[in-house]
Amino acid sequence: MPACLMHRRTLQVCLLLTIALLFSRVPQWEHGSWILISVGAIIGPFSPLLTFRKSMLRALGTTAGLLLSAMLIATLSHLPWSIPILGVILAYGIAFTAQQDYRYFIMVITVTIALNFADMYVPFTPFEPWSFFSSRAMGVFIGIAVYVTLEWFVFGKREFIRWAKASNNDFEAKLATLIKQIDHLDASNPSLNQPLLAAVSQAQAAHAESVSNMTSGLDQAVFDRAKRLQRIAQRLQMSVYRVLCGSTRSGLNITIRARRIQALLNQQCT
Amino acid sequence: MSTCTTERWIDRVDPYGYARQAGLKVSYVAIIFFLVNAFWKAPTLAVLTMCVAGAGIVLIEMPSINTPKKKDVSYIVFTLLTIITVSIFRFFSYFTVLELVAIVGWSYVLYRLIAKDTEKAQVVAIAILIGFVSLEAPGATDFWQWVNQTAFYVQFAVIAFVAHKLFPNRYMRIVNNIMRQIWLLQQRQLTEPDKTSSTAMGTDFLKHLSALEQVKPLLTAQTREHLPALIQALWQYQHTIEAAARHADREAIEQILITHKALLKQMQAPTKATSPTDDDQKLVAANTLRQAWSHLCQLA
Repeated sequence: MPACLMHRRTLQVCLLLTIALLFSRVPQWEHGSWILISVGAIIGPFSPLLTFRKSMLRALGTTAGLLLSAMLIATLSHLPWSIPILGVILAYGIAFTAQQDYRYFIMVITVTIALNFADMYVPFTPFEPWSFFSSRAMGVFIGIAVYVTLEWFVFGKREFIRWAKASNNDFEAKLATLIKQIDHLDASNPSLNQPLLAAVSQAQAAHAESVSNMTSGLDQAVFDRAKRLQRIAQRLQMSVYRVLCGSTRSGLNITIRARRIQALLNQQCT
Repeated sequence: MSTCTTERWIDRVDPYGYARQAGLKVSYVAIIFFLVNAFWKAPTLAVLTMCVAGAGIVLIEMPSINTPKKKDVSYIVFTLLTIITVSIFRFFSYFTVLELVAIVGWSYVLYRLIAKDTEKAQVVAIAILIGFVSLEAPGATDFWQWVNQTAFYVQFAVIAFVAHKLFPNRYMRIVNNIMRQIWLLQQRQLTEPDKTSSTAMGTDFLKHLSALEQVKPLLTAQTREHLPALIQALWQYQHTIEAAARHADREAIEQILITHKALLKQMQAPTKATSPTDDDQKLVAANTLRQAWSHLCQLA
């Protein structure tokens, strides 16, 4: 990513943190830190294309997590021996879901934090747990509201488009480098080409993930370009696959295939 | 490797087993933390101390951190960053304006110095997030108490690092899972040639091979040396599967499927594998793959 874009985003993140901090401290609210925690979790992926979707997933995950922790507290608050067992299960859950969908991760994190910060010892009066959970939920949703307001109305749609364009440019440059390397593909010893295969596959996966939340409504031209680049990458992979698998139906060698893909990419640039 | 011939829930959720591996390692570190906590009483919330020291373990089990050295360095750097962040946030939490300056200023410094790309920016964000979580815990009320808390984080971090170093190398299981994914893909190619496009098959096969390349540096030196033979055999076998899926009739495909299913069972018990010679190209490819896999499993 270009350095200027990274710097601009860093400043935006700092502004976001300042506003969230003011929201959490000025009202002198006991659980104000949850606004900060929410904003801190949402800004995780850094790119606005990913963080916006993350804020929605956080809302879902938090709601589910709070309901689950309420049930767990109601069931286990009188069984102190169950806490270490639950701790190990939650530790497994955090590490497992860290590599899965964000909403599940946030759900487990919410349960862990809610249960661990002395919540298991909350006296079980009819109102106390509910006020506790509602204040946590309020903190999270205020945090999401602060983020969405700033991201959508202050930083604006243009920021999303800038990041999508930069992501496309980045991927295009990577593809151009990889196409050049394909000329040196050794079909007689496929294991030698492993680093190249991994580079193509990872570059495609990274680009697909970075633009996965982009819709045609954002910018049709940028959206179409991202799709075309994905198709070129797929074609590149298939060319490599066919050569290494020995299933070249058309009989074209890899140099001709690489040139054709390069021409497609050049067409894309113009 | 599981001998189940159909795709299971876990094959979709965690195809290569990285999440299961991370879960197991973090649970193991958590048990050690609980035991240590029974003897050393933390000067702040015990769970916060465990979170500061243990978050790095979740991070280093990400597939992209794929060498032992990278794992060690990442853990040390990340944990130091987290400890410094938590200490700064806690230290200034009693001052109204200074807290704002310290939190925003430190976040800016971290992003500017470390976040050169989005991947590193994500790591910075986790350290800052743990700093925010620490604001929920009761803080130190004097300078020496603050030093005491910080020293305790370091103590737990050292324990977590030793636990990480003592954890057995289980990355051969990841290779096992990758082999299973390739096997399932090839089975799909044979049984549902109309439903699955050749492009999707090809790109999926390359994706699995790319995962194999990613895990390679984490395997033992002996296993690493013999991985090229396995890859060679995989390509050879894939060639026969591809040709059969395209040209063979129903009866021939049924025959290949029997060999293919037998291959999974033989890969499950690799040491028992024999090396019969056969003129049939499909059987030769299957045997070569079985032998390469047996050899690799014996070394692991």
